[in-house]
Amino acid sequence: MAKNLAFDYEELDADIRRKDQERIETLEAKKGILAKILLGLVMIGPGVLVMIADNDAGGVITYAQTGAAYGIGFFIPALILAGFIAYVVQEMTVRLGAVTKRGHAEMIWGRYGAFWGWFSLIDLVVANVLALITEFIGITLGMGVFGVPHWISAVVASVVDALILLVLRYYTWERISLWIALGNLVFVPIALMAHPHWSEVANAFTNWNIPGGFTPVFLFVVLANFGTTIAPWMLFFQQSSVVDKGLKVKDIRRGQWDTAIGTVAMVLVALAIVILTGTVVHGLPNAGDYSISQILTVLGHKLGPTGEKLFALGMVEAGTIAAIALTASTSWAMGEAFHWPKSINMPCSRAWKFYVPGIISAIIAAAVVLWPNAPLGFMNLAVQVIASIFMPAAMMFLILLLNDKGIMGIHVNGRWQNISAFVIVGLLVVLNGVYGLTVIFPKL
Amino acid sequence: MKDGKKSKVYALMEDTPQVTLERAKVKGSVNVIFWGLRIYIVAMVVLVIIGFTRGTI
Repeated sequence: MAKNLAFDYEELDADIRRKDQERIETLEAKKGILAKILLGLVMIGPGVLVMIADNDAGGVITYAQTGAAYGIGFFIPALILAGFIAYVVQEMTVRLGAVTKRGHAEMIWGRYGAFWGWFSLIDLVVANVLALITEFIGITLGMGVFGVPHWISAVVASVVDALILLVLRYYTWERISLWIALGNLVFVPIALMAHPHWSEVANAFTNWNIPGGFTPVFLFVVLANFGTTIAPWMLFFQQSSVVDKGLKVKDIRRGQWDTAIGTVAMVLVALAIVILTGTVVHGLPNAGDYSISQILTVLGHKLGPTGEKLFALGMVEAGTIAAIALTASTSWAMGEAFHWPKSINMPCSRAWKFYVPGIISAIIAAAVVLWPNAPLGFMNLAVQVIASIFMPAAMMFLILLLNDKGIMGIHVNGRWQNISAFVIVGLLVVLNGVYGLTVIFPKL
Repeated sequence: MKDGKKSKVYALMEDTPQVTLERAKVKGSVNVIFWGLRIYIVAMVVLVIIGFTRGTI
């Protein structure tokens, strides 16, 4: 009986996925520019979503505080470099997902055993729940500008987050998420409202130096910015999303374009925020220590209420899209690890095990945000600590899998892809190690 | 040459079935990588514990 039900799940999932694949194939068969444009739009999805969701509420706060503290000098070229790094990492998940038709958690568990499977899963789920808390904090802060009480924002955010996962099937889930993701671009017009000195922006490329010298605080900001650009959940999310979308090997090139478009959008938004606060807030007394609320107040004074409200709206959007992605990522990873149903295509009445982890993570996050005197600073730190320990490990699994000819066949990493990936892992290990040492031994 | 290129393109486009999951044999350079990973994780966990006990984190 149970076996028959399991069979039904897979049939149902395959049916819906087949429809999504047929939509792509119908457009491929058609000729003309309109069909090509529509095909391009249909293929946009996992790459854009993962990159935009990476500009989450915590990311927006990090970029805003970075611009306020250091201006636009060092971090503009650094963020462009971080964009390249994000593309190199995420592109590998497209190939891995399209070739194996399996998610990242499933691959680690199946190829490297239960120890590394549990290690990855626990890290991912804990980091996701903690990150979800920061998303809800961002949403409540943003909605606070419009006078909405925190408890209402947190409850509504968790309900919306849960409903999007529960009610929608993959294609509609992806389309609605993309419309929400589009709101991330709101930071670009706000940056333009600040009338930045473009000569200063151009100077950042010709005169790249470390403002104030190489201090532990500066290293922390660099790590926070890199940590904001590449994170473990992104690997799991995009690979599962590629699989759930039903992308095939022939779709790899389009998946790469999707990832590239997402990277450009992500970097554009990150630059806009750094340029905005680098222009408007940087240079004010103690700007380096400003909280996001103080930055919002300065934006209100200098750009008027429209600027402040648009920025707040951007924070709400950033938190919402990231919450959607994190919740789905948790459900996918749990489903893959424990061989539960693992597709957004499955109705919740028949695949509740898949949906429960994501929904519980949203409820926990909302509850923590509403908990008075919750140690939010500690949680934010814990996210960074877990991510910094876990990211090199997640990257190593990715590189190992992408070099596994038995799995990837002719789609294994090329020489330059491996060199780039190893350089990124090396950079992460060195940055994390140096930061750890400078914090513990400040006199070094 | 032209045919070779063409067949390579077709090979790149050819779809693959869902991969069968078998436990990978961890040996040679892969084993070294795994040990490096273990050492890195232990070192980072030790640094974090020292940081918390000293109150520097």
